[in-house]
Amino acid sequence: MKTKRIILLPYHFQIVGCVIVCLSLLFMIISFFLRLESINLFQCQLYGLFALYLGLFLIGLAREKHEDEFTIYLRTSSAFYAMLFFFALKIILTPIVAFLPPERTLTSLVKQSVNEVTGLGVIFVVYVFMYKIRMARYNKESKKEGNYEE
Amino acid sequence: MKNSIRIERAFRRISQQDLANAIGVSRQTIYAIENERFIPSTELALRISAYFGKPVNDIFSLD
Repeated sequence: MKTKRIILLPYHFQIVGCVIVCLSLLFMIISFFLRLESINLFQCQLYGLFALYLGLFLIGLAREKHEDEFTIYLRTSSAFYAMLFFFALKIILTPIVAFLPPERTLTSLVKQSVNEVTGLGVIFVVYVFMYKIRMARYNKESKKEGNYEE
Repeated sequence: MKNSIRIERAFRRISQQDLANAIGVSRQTIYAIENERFIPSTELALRISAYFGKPVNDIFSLD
């Protein structure tokens, strides 16, 4: 019997994604702390963020070694929870930002941070982390009690 | 939905990994089904019951 499957990238893309995420984090940290005059910090952070999103995108869209209906269930439920989390965050933060006093340095910083946090890319980041954490938890628990001797 | 996969597995002395390999799913899937955290599709339920050589009703039952 044939069942519908989600179209995903091959498993190796997960490894590529992990490497890109690690390199981008390293790049962002180094560029932040070194602050070389020849390098524009803002542009470095922007490139780092782009690479981070690309890496997470590859991790999120690559297959598992054993892709089956349970992993598809985990993917869809994680995406649903990520969407709920995003909208809850948006609902909580929007009125807070609206009532902040105007024209202050701290206020503009808070507003900028809120805009970053409530950006659409956050849904995917939350989805990837939630999915991977749940997968790792099931992996760990099933390793504990996987034998017939129990 | 309850199931007796763990009992059947213990009776035949096979691990979750062995069962997972035999029916073509991951070990995590078998763990999640055994602990009633995931309800398998009809196809998977049929494959599991066929592996144990029993009708689906004997392996899976309603609460």
